[in-house]
Amino acid sequence: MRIEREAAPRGTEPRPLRREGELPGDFEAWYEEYQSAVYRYVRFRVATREAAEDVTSVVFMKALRSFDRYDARRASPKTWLLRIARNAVTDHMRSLKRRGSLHVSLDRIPDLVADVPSHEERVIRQERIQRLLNGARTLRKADQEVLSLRYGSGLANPEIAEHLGISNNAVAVRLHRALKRLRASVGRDATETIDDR
Amino acid sequence: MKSTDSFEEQLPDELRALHDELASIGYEERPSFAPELRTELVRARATGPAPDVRLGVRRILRPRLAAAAVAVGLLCAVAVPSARAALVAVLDVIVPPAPADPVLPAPPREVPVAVESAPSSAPPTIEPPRVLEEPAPVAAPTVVAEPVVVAPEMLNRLEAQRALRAAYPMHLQRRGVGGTVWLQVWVDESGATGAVEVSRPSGVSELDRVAARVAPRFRFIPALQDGRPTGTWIEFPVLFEPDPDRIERTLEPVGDPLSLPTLDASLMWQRTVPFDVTAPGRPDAVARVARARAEAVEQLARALPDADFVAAYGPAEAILAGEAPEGAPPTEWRAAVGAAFSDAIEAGVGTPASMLALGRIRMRQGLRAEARSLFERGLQRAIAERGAATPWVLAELHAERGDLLRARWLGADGVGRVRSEAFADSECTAARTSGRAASGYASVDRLVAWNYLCPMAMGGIFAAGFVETAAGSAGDLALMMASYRAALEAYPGHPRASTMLLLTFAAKGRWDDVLAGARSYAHASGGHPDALLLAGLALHRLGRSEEAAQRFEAALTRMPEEEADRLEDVAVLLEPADAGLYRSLSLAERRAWQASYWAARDRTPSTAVNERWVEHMARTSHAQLRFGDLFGDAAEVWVRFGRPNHVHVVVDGTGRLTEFWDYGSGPDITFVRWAPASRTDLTAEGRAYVDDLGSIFPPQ
Repeated sequence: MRIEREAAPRGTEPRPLRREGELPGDFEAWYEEYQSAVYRYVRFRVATREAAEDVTSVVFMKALRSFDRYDARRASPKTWLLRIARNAVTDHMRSLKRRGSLHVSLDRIPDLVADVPSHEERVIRQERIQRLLNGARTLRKADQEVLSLRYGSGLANPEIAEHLGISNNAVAVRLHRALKRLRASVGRDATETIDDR
Repeated sequence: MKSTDSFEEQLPDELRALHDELASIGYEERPSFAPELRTELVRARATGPAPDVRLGVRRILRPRLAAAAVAVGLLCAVAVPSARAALVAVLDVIVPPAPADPVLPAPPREVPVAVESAPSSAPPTIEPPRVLEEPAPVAAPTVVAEPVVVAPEMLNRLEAQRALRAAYPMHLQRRGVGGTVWLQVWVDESGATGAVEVSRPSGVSELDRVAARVAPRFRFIPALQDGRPTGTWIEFPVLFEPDPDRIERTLEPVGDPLSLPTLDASLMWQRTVPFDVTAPGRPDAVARVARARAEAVEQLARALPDADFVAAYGPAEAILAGEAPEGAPPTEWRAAVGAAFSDAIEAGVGTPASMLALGRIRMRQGLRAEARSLFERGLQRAIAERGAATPWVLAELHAERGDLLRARWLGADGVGRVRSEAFADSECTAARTSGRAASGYASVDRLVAWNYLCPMAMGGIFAAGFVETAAGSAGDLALMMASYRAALEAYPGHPRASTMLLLTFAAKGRWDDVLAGARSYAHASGGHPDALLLAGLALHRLGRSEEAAQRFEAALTRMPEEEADRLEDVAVLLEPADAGLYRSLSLAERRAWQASYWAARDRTPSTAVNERWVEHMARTSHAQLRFGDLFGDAAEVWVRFGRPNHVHVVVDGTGRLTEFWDYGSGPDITFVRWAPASRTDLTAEGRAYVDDLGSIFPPQ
């Protein structure tokens, strides 16, 4: 069951007008190329679209301010941006722990259920995604990181390996374990919340 | 961006499915987000670091939009008052800037008021639409070089208002339910509308849906950027306001149930006759019910022999309820009052109220068929003779009939037997059986024995051999629902009809309907605690724990302290020794103990609510509403283990129903029930098993 992972803006509305040439050339290209991957990485980790937008904004603001210090020998632009994103997500979670909710509610994930025509299927799918994301949030940080790189940003294992500075094989092992733990977590959750089913 | 490595191929099947699920999550990005963020980046680069980068685009834009909304809303509110039509207004558009550009206030092209759009057929009493305030001067842009952004303007305002008015549900208008829905709409460069989102719900989901459904019919002059048409998102409010003339006299609109004044809890909690108040100065909802009760008693009195009768057997409220007052010998009381009403009805002076009272007495005498006949006659009389019954009496008659049908339906729903041959393929050495039942169906005793000795076999046996009896439960269900609905038509917010109807939706898993119904119920009843419990239950099931917690807390403050204490009680979750200690505590000590008990079990302490407590409240509320109290075996199991995954009900020809509650692992928990009574007791085996479970693993 694969779906198209390209950005899927609603309907056919075009992106609004854009003036070119006001960001540094490379940064402009990076923004164009990686904004979506960063957004998805963040969206996988945070509870709402609004939060994902805020955190993505923070990522690129920070990146822009640090752009002059970027060192191509140390990391690819994508890796660099995703590292900033990881820190921004951590900051976001820390602030939420102080004042809000980490729990994903059903009414907060309609943007994650694209292209499902029937209302019934959509509801079922929403419930399933809600459980998966809530399950993912109970995992260790390292598991969350590798899952969001893979299933949020859509990185292939070699890209994740480069990002984390580990071998391709180690990525596969980490992913495998993270999936196992997620499966156990979702399964456990299912038995713990049998009320009202 | 799909990865092409072979990782997924190496995954075992059970992880592969999870991998596929995760990989299939769609990410629907707001189309204007990327350009908006880019604009912010450009600005940040031009002006230096942003003062607070934590504010994202959305948070930067939102306050500005909100401010613009207020300003333009004040300027441009459009009203279409009509003596006959509900007021439905599309307040004027609030225009965010074209996404790639800085925020500028839209220049005042003109005051977009639909003065000319007043319907020509409107009666002379209609007030003309008016501008609420003169337009305020718009501050000149401080950055001269910024491009001029011109807001979209609605072209077909009159048509839009007509469409909204036509779509405004009549039942909401009658109840006086209105609200303001904020929509975000994409307007493309041709002025057509694209995607529609409800950005700020009204609190009435039906209104939100109506607004979102009608919005694609709006047409606009597109936004202009430097004189060129451009697509943009706009945000604007749609106002639904019921016409006062349309609101039914008995249905005073009420506000948010959570913000209603606290009523006298002891009066709110009685389910059959929820309010009994005549004191002046009570909130409208209570005073309304008090009036209805007084009118019903007045109608009842017409069928009574004389005023001395009430003095001897009253008060009149007790007679209407069919319940002997305290101190009166019930059997004798029922015989005397029943005879008086029978005589009156035979003499032709019976009223629907007296038929209601007599029907209730007959119910308590075990004469269900006669009771139903009396309720039916009361309904016929009330319908044939306008004014013969008050809305309250009419609703009570419908609800009583609904209750009778509910008992029958419950006695037949999902009931069946298990064919003997289903046991053939199941091996259970512990439960040897000899021969085969002559009827071809397994005895209940055999099922119960296999259930506890060979629980692993039971799933297969039920799957292969359970045959539902051909009872007319579907017909009873339809009639029951129709009866409760009729009760609510007659008297919106009728507590028992509302609760039973919504519990039926809950049994079918229709939680959105339960939530919508609970909201209507709460509004119509002035915030009945049952309505709040049902809303909390639905919100919990829909995954909205924080809102569910709010509803539960509001319900607890609105019921008598001892009821609230029962719902929050955790004794059934404790080991017997601990439960004894817990029960010996004072109320205040129990409350403090509960707080620490739940705090220790909070799965996600970082969240604002304790999900365990919410879950417990959902279980106790559901059990309370479903079983009528929390004292029985069924309620105890429900609170400890939640709702069963599946229930099989087996008949044995004696009128006894044996229920098998399946919780997914281990034996099913078994109950007996005598149809059509709703009392459900554990079997001896079930009790032993549940007690064992208490010492094996903690509940939940």
